[in-house]
Order: sequence, then C-alpha cells, then structure tokens
Amino acid sequence: MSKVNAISASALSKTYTLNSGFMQSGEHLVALDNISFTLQEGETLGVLGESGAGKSTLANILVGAEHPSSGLLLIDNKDVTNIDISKRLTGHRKVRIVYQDPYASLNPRLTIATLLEEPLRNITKLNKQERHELIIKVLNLVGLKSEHGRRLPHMFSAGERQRIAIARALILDPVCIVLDEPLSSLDISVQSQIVNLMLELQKNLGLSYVLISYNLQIIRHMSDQLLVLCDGRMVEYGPTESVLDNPKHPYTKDILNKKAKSVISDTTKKSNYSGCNYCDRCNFVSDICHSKKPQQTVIEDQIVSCHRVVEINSN
Amino acid sequence: MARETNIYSPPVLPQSKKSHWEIFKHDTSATIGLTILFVLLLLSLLSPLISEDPHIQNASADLIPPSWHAAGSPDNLLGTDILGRDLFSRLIKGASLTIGTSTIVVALALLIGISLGILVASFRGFIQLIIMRTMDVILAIPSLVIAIIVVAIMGPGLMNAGIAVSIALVPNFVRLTRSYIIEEMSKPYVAAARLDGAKPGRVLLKIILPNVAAPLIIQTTISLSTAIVDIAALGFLGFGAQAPLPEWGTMLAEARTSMYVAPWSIITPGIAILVTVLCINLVGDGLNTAINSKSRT
Amino acid sequence: MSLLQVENLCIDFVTTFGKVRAVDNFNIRIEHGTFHGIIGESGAGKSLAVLAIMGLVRENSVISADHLSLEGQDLLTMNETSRRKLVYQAMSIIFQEPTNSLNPCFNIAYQMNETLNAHGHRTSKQRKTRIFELLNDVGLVNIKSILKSYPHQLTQGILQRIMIATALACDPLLLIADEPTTSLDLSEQVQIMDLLTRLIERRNMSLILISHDFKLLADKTDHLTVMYCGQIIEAGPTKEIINSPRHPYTYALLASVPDSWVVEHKAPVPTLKGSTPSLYHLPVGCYLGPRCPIASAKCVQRPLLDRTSNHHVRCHFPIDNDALTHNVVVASHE
Repeated sequence: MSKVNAISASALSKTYTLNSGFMQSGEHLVALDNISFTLQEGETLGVLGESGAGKSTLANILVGAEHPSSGLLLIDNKDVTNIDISKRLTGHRKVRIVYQDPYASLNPRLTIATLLEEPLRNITKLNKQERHELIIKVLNLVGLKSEHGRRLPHMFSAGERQRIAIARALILDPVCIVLDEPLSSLDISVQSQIVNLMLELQKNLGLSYVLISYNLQIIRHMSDQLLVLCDGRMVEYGPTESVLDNPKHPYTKDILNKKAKSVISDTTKKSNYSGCNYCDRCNFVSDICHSKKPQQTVIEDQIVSCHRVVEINSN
Repeated sequence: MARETNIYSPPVLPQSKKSHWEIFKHDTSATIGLTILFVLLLLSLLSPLISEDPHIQNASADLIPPSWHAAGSPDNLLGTDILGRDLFSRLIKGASLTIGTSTIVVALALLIGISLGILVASFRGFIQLIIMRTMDVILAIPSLVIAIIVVAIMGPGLMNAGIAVSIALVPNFVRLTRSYIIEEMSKPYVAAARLDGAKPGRVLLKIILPNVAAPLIIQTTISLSTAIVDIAALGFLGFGAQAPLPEWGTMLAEARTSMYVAPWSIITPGIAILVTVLCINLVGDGLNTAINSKSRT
Repeated sequence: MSLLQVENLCIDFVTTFGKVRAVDNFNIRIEHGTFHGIIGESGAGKSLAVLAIMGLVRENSVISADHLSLEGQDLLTMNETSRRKLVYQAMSIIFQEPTNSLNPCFNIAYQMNETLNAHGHRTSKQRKTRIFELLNDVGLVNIKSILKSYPHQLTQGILQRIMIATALACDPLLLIADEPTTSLDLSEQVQIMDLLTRLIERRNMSLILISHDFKLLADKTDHLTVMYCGQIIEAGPTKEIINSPRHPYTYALLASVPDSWVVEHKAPVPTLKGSTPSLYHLPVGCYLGPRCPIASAKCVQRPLLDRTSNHHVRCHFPIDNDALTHNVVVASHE
C-alpha cells in the first residue's frame, strides 16, 4: 500500500481584500482558515457546508485557479502551492473540476468534440489522430457515443451534459476531480445514474474525489472522509461514518438535526475577528467562544475545532 | 430478467432546423428592408453608368418637375433643382456620401469601441475609471453639440462631421462590449476554458468574443441608422457636407429656398433618408429576432 | 361537494416545431382541509396544470377540460370577470423563489399594503392590523423591523414566510405551493413544511404542494399524484403509494431517493436508465417505455388511467406487490 498521499493540504488559508479602490483601503475577509486534510488514491473526501462557507474557494485552490494566502498543498508529495495554472497543468498530475450547473459549464457554441479537444490542444503534444482516439475513449467511459461528439450542448439533456462535464474532467487523466454539487441541478432519476457513473470511474481508474454537497445521504454513500466547513473554518474532520453517526461539533450536530439557523452578517469572517465562527448560533456558547479562536483538537478519530468539545460530548 | 430487445427506436434529437438566414427570411418586413438596401447599393455602384455628373448646372433646365409630371421629361427622372442639376444623379451620388460615410463612421466607432471595451474589461481599476468616465462625459453631450465643438475646432466639412458622429457613437460600443465581456467572464465555461490551459488571449478570442458578437451586431445596425440621421442633420445645419456636395442633408438645406416652387427638390432627399433609415431599422429588427430566437432553443 | 374538481384538463402549446401536448388529461379532486402532493421531475407538467386552473397560463396555449369546478361552481361556463374574481378569492399561490416574487425596490410594508389594498382592506389602520396578524400567523417575530426591511436584507426562509402571509391575505380555501422549499436551506425547509401543515389545520384550508422531492411529500400529505411527461401515471392516498407503488416509474423514483439506498457503501445504487424524453419526441404508446425495465410489446399501445379503485395507475403491467415482480423491477445499474 503506497504511503504517498494523492493530495495533501496543510493549513490552507485564503484572505480576500475587498472594496479597495482609489480612496479607501480594503477590508480583509477570511474565506478559508487553516484547512488540512489528506486524500489517498481511490478515496473520496466529502465537504459539507452552507453557502458562503468557503467551499468554492477551496475548490479553486485545489484546481489551481487561485493560490492560498498561506499553507501548503501537495500533489503526490510535490509542492504545488504557488505554481501557476499553466505549469500545474503541464508538470504535475492534475486536479479537475465538475461544476454544479450543467447548462452554464459548457460553451454553447462549441461541439462536444471541439470542447473536449481544447485541453488536449493547449497542453498535450498529441497529434490529431491521437486526440481523436482519446476523445472517443473518454466519451465511451462516460456512457456516450462517438457520434455525440458532433453535437452542440443544447441538444443534450441535463444528465448527459453532466456526463460531458465529467468527460472533460477525465480527458487529462487527473489524480483528483473536484465535484462541486454535481447532482443538485439534476432530476432524481438521473442523479443515481451519475452517482453510479462516478463510483464506477473511481473504481476502475483509481480516481480521488472531493465531493462538495449538502446532501447528507449522497455524502454518506460516496465519501470515505468528511470535512465540515463553517464560515471558512474546518469545524470537524474525520471518517464519514464517525462524523455522521457521532458528530462532535455543535454545528455538525445542528446540521444533522436540520436545526442550523442561517446567518446574514459576515462579521465572523473579518480578519480582525478572534473568536469562534459559530458562536452567535451555537447552543453551547460560553464566554471564551467570543474571544478566542478554537484550536483543532483530536478526539477519537476526528479533528474538531471547539473550545468545549470535551464537555459537550462527555455524556 | 429484464428484456434486452428494445422495441423503441433511439430518440431523434431535435436538430435546429432553421438557420439564422431562414428565420430572417421568415420576417417579411426585414426581407423587404434588406432588398431595398441592396437596390440602393446597386444603384450607387452603377452610378457612373446610369446617371450624369451631379455637379453640372444647367440654367435653362432649372426647376423641371419629375418625369411623371406633365411638364417633366425622361431625361431627368426625378426632376431638377433650382440650379438645373439632375436630382436623380444627385440622389445616387448622395447615397454613397450619406450611407457610405455613415458606414465608415460606424465601422470606426465599432473598432475603437470594442478595443476600449476589451481594455476596460480586462484591466479594472484606474484605467477603467478614466475610460468609463470619459465615455460618460461623451454620452452626456448630445451628438450635435459634439459636432459643433469639433466643427468649431476643425472647420466644417463631411469628414469632420463624420469624426464628430464617430466620437458620439463610441461610448455605446464601449459600454456594451464591457458589460457583455464581464458577463461572459463570470460564466463557468470561461473558467473551465482557463482551467483547460487556454491562454487569456485565446479565451478572449475564441470563447468570449463569439458570444458577444450577436448583441454587437444589433447595436451596429442601430448605430448605423443613428449615424445616417446625424450626418444628414449636420449637413442640413451646414456643419457637415458643404454645398455643392450632394449629401442628402445638404440637399435638404439647399432646397429650402425653392420649397414652394419645386417641392420635389426637397421631398426626394427627405424620402431617401426616411426610407434608408427605415430599412436599416427593419433589418436590425429582423437580425435581432433571428439571432435571439436561435440562442433560445 | 369537493373544493376543486378537475377532469381531463389538457394543455397544448403551438410552437414553431409543431403542436406539443404539455399536459395530457389531468384529473384531480380536492376536498376541504386536505393536503395534496403533486410529484414529478422537470417537464412533467405539474406546475402548468395548476397554473392553468388558476388562469395564469400564457396566450399561445390551448387549454381544454371536460370539467373544472371550484366550490361547486363551473369555471368553464362562467364569464371572464366572475371567474377571475372567484379564483383570486378562493385560491392563492406561492412560488419557488421568493426573491422573484418581491419587488427589490420597495420595502416589505409597502408591498404588503399594496396586496391588502387590492383585496379590499381600504383603510391603513385595517391594513396594519391585518399585516401584523398575518405575519404573526406565519411565525415571524420582530415584525416591525421586517416591515421596514427590503427583500435583499432578509433570508430566503423569512421571505418565503412573507410570501405565505401575503397569500393568506384573502383567506383562501386553497393554497398552492409550487416547489416552495427548493431554494431554501435544509433547516428552513423543515420549518416551512411545519408551518404549512399547521396552517392547514388551523384554517381548514386545502394545500396543493408541487415538488420533485419524495421525502418532503411522504409524511405530511394525504394524497399524492405522480406525473410523467404531462400525464398522471399514478395517484392515490400517499401511504399506499409510498408503501406499495404500482407504477414502475414511481417504484424506480422511490428507489432512487438517496434515503432509501440500502446498498453497501460505494456500491452501485438502483437507477432507471435513459432520460426523460423531450415533449416534442414522445415515444409511441407508454411514455416510460424506452426506460421501463418491464416493458414489453404491449407497451406500444397507450395505457389508460385505471380509476377503478382510489389508487389510480396508468400501466399495462402494474406492480401487484408480488415478490417476483419486485425483483424484476429493481433495475440494475444502467
């Protein structure tokens, strides 16, 4: 069993500066704070969090579209943290992404074959014949036929478009695919088809997945590990079964009981805020929660960020 | 055991049966407009063959009514003006002046507008600030006032009027290009293209601009009709084409003195302007329908 | 006398690609104080059917029905004005995205005042009392600050409650909710469903809930109608349909719901092959045919809706809770 992690993230953080313009200095917003995880080949990491929790930022960092403000990202134990996207695509194993909206993620003017050929032309040195063969191979892998390559995106159903998006991710032989809510725009009967496709591809190709979803059942079925994000902070991380059956953080407990209240302000995300992100909605809040940032503590096989985690879970 | 024999034929996907052209053809008024414009174009190109020199003055043949009038003659199809110049020839030559200048003006504005739009969309911050506020200033001033300013600085003439109208048209193109590019940039497939390794230039040319072309085409036809009216107006006011150039607006101004004696000398250029602008608007409308309905299926 | 009775409602659209039947012989019967669910995937025609009953379908459509009555009054023979008056008094509708139903330029107080004015509360004092009453009814606190706010300052959950309050302004007998919880967070979804159930009991109102989510409809509704490609393929008491579905599509849909997956971690899940056909190219005979695991030669004949019991089903080979048929129908991974 190889000990090389497919992907390893260590203390990833990202801060954005907003509203900086001609006359004003900017406001710093912490989108991600101290995210760490490891992912093996053939494993899936589930990421759970509300909108605004930082999931898209994490996705962008993993694919190479953005660089973290601090922290380390390793692919196959090689440091890719600050490598530019063009070098990321040529020198290392890739991380690709499948977006949520199958309608907006495909260029409406390109045929499928042209769309799939783009990454090959930009990055690889294959000749026309080799590219053509690879495109057919990848289309078959996702359950489509080679003649579908000649059609435009609007001629396909939502489920088929999502397959095309998966084909586009696969064509560069990635080490990991980030799935950003891949099923939420699909009908129920199509969702299970795509789940089966993703599972089959993982088994046959040894792919890793980072599955971002708010659907607990799908996360439970597909992921091996689970990371719970709250306003950019990692509040709980561990094997999926442990986190879902035995949640230790108040936020995870609330989500699982469907009692998590939504929040409107983002005071907790400002960089000068030092306290717990969940304290204005937490049932177990105490004084220390407002003033000091919780540390990541190891409890059984989970990592939890909460000041009172031991007391809350001792009974 | 589920049955494997499929008694249903594979689904036939809806092919877009109608091309842009067919949808356009379906719209009668747009087709009529396009036909008339073609006729005008043809006449302008054939002008050396079918008409005489528009500047020849014939004092003895002045104020002859159009050929269908009792006193008219087939020599002068649409009659003559106060100086004995054949109106038909003047009109044809004027077509190339009015429409031709407007086309060049719009093409120039389009080029400058798109380039500035791309610049502004790519580099936010200070550059955007300066350029967009300048565009706002230009938009705030009516095109005729801009023309007066340009003419005051550079003197009257068709070319200077053209420059003034071009300046007035640029802001619309810049705004349109900028907003459509920004809208396109936020779409996931553009991000996906970057993640496919496409360099920014390739992304712009192959992915963003084709999707922006459609609304730009429509804006071009609108600007064309505006340009024609503006150039004719400037000619009428004396800022644009100077007499004896047979620009339609100038012809209108010249014919004012003989309006009651020879109404045809003022009506003909007026109708010419009206018909041209109407046709361009009809064609623009037809293009709008053809392009937008296609993208909706 | 039923509150609403619809028989054989058909909606056709005339398009550049030909005539398209979007809703095919839709029937429903709603009694007072009951909770109905209509379930189907996108394109099934569920929203259209209900909008047609309210008279909100656009012009290039041809709507026909054998029978359409509200509170015993025949809507088909009424004139336009009295029909509109009756429908707007007795029925109300809320939609999926509350932000689309509210004008972003005005605060909540202004918009609610507008609606109440239209429904006959003429004096501003009357309106104020009524607004407070309604917003209280939907479980909102901090009413004063909510009224002063603009839509973009409030969460989706609160906005949806405001929409429900506005819908209740005319004291309707029937409330229609078209996917009201789809764009809400999980916790807000639960709260809105609880609210709707409470309102039905308290006001003896009926509710039609349109959704694509079985979980949502399973525990609270009394009756369920399942639609596919514009047709009703199964209808009846919810418990019966959930526990013993008779149509293969319903069966497959229930099996596809992630909560009902009993397979091992990361094993293939039950699914239905193929995808929903486009309305322009519907299959001959039974619309589920190409996808159905038990389709046979007879299925090229159009099946009729069997209404002999109160559990209606449209299928030549309905599942009869027979163990053998069950195994056949568990569709393997496509």
